[in-house]
Amino acid sequence: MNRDLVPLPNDAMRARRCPTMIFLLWAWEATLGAAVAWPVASIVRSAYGAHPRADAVLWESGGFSLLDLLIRRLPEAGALVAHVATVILFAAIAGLLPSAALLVCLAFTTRERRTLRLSVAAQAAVVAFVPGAILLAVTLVFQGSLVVSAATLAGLAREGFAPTLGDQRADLSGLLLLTVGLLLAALAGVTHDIARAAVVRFGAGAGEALRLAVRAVAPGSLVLFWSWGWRALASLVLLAFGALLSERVGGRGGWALVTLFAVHQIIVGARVAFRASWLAKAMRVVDHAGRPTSS
Amino acid sequence: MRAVWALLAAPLVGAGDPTEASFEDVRTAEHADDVADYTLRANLDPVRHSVHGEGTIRWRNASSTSVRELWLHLYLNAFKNERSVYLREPVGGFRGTGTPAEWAAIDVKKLLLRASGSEAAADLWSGAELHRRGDDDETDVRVPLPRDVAPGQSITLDVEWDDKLPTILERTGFSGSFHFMGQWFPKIARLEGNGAWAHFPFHHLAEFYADFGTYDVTLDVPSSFAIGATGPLVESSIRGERRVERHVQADVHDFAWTAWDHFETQSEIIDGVEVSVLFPPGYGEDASRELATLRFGIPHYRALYGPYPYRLLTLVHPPEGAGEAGGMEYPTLITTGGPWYGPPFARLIELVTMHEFGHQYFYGLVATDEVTWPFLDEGLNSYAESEALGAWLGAGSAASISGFTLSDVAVQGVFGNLSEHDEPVAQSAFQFRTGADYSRLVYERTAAILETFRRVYGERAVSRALGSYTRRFRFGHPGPEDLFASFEAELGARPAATLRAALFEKGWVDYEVHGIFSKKSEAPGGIFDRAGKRETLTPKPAPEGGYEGWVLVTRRGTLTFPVDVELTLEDGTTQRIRWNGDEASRIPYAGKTALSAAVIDPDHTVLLDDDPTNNHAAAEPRPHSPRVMERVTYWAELLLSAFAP
Repeated sequence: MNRDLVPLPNDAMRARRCPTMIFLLWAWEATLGAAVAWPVASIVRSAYGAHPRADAVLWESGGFSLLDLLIRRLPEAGALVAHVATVILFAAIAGLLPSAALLVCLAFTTRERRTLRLSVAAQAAVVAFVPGAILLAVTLVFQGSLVVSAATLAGLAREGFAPTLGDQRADLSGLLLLTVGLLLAALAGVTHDIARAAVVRFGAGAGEALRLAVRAVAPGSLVLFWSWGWRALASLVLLAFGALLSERVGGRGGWALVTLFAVHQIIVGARVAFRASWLAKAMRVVDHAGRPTSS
Repeated sequence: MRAVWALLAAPLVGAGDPTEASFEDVRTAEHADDVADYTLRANLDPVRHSVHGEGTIRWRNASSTSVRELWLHLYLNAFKNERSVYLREPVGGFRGTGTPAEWAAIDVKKLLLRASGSEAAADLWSGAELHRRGDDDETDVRVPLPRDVAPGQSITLDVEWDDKLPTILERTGFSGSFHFMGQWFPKIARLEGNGAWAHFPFHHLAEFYADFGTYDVTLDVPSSFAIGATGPLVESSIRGERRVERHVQADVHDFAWTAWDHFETQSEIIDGVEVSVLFPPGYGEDASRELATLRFGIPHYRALYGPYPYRLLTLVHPPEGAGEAGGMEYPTLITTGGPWYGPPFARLIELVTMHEFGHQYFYGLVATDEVTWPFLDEGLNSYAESEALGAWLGAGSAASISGFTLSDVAVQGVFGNLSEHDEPVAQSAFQFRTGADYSRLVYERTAAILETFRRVYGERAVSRALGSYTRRFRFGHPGPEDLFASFEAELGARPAATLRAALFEKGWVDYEVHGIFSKKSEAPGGIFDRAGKRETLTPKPAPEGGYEGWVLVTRRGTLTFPVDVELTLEDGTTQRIRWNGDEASRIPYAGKTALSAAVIDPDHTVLLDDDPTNNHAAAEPRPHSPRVMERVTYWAELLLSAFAP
């Protein structure tokens, strides 16, 4: 571990200590978001850039121009999907670095008890990259298996119950199974976050971090899950507000559009802050559990 | 020149409520000409998925010539083997694809011509030609008669048959204990007035055509089953473990029924019609939405296309496993569809319900030949559906979510354009190369053509044309010429010719703004010989100031519609000018500010426009799409946060 890094006291591991990192994470997401949006906006500009109402025509009532453009440019959808998939893959892998830097910021300070410089946090994040990538891969495979299994079981339940229970009850049985699968996948995600915290806090390898995370989660999994869950629910409330505002603004431009942009980015920033808050909690859990002594 | 443009600057869409159009001058028949009466009895075995049927068919030669043969349609044989015409046709891309998990058949056991006067009874089935030589299809059967049947003369046939039902495919069959019986009895093809039989094998993309008559059908099912059928229930009894119901309906040309031991029911009298919805447990919300649709639809169609003449209407919402039975029309009985959790922002249930109800007119009452001219039923009905949904639900008649609205009309316009150059709209169902072409051209393109006419020539004129057609030809089996005559009478010869070109000749149109130009008005420069003197003038700003310029608009294609051209000026104001849609026109401009942009057909009146994205041009195109950039960036950020660690 970097000798310049001094572990923070457990109760000092708070997201509010790292506003710069939160801002940088928002900027990271915004940049990637813009990278996805740029080709889409270019396509729209090529079709309606010369229209006096420009891209506002896509919000016209009845949706004729929107549907026409979607269908007309359908052949380009494959390239767009490939572009989005590439950005997602890049975001998933390269995103390990900024999120690890945030974890470093949450866990450590300097000898002078100052906030870490970005370069120091980045250096530590690079060290955590490989175990972080392994943990991410393992978690994604596990979560994917859970969701696919739940979906398969849900489908089988739906098929099996429909003749006797009817479509509605059969569908609800399947939905229940799918929900259980998704909740388990979310719990796996919670465990993954705690393991990442262990990698950063103790410099643990992927396997050791995972064992520590499982031990930390097991005794109070419901409390921990809720700790993640209320933040996720709060994010959803923000999303609903963003959707409502988006609907109200419709195809308007000018200040209405500027306001919408600001609100949307505040929502994205708030979601990043919620996530930082949760990771701080995960760091406190790991710190409290302590590094297991090697046998 | 400017005065001419100003004169043309009139609104394109006619004003007025289309339901207020008057039809007092159009005679509407009260009843159909009774040609084929069926008195049948059917017994359902829901375990073997079979129906045993027997009864009599009374048929009258309503043509002008004697006939010596009958043609019988045994359409359940379409699912008998893979050599049927239905399963051989490689069209795909529409409903009813694949093969049934259990094969089906209709086996005629008896077809007896009853004795008449001095003529003895005759067994007809032994001489029947079940299929053509070298063709295994058994859906279109020729039955020679032992004697001529003169015009106006009637014959009575005793018939007995067994149905083995398929697993649900193309509207008919079973799924679990749900059974739907469509095209389930031996049915006589229609004899046209000139003595030619309109008989067809069951083609994959085709529907049906038959004569009107009275159907008196007794249905025998297990007592735990509920029945939905064409025509009102006139007798009902429980005999041991069987339920027996008799349904009788005059003035119809088909009879379909369903039986299931899980049906629930909602009923309501709407505009004097007894409407019942049969639906699976848990689909109550869907049933309510279907009834709400008809609360608008029945009186709306009455005003536009004439009164619904039957006492009742039954809607059947099949369970999910029997979805192929959904979205179909029979006289006084229609099937809808959709999941029980259908989201309210998507109007699929309303769309299917309105569409199938509309078929009571465009198939049921006018009774066109669905095989030869599918656009006359599906196309006109798709227009009626989108018109009604638009009148009821407005711009979001197909969907409405998150500030976006999607109309049924937009869907039809955009998808109809996809196949506009491939095949003509007006052709027989079996001539379409693919199911996708059939769907886009017959349903969507026809609807978009008529909607374009409504927007260009006025709601009232098109309502009058279609309303006169449906009233004048009620029970009348009209053809395309009857439709064109009705349009010509109401809209004039040129629009009627355009309609013909659009339907029969792959008619198309593409408007384009080729360019716009404006500059400060100037006194002209150059060498001028005036009053015997030569003077050279340099261009200079005109004393009255202002700008002058032009917009070059063109039209390609074979269809011509007048459209608006909207000029946007630099000060943000707009001017509308009507262009008669000639091949090309340079529209002059003169005004106080420079010309900023021009748009042809800004209100999308011509849904048939091949490429609406070339309908505009700007002096300086905008370099950004700010709204799209904002929304997509935000959505992408949310998406990425779900994947990013």
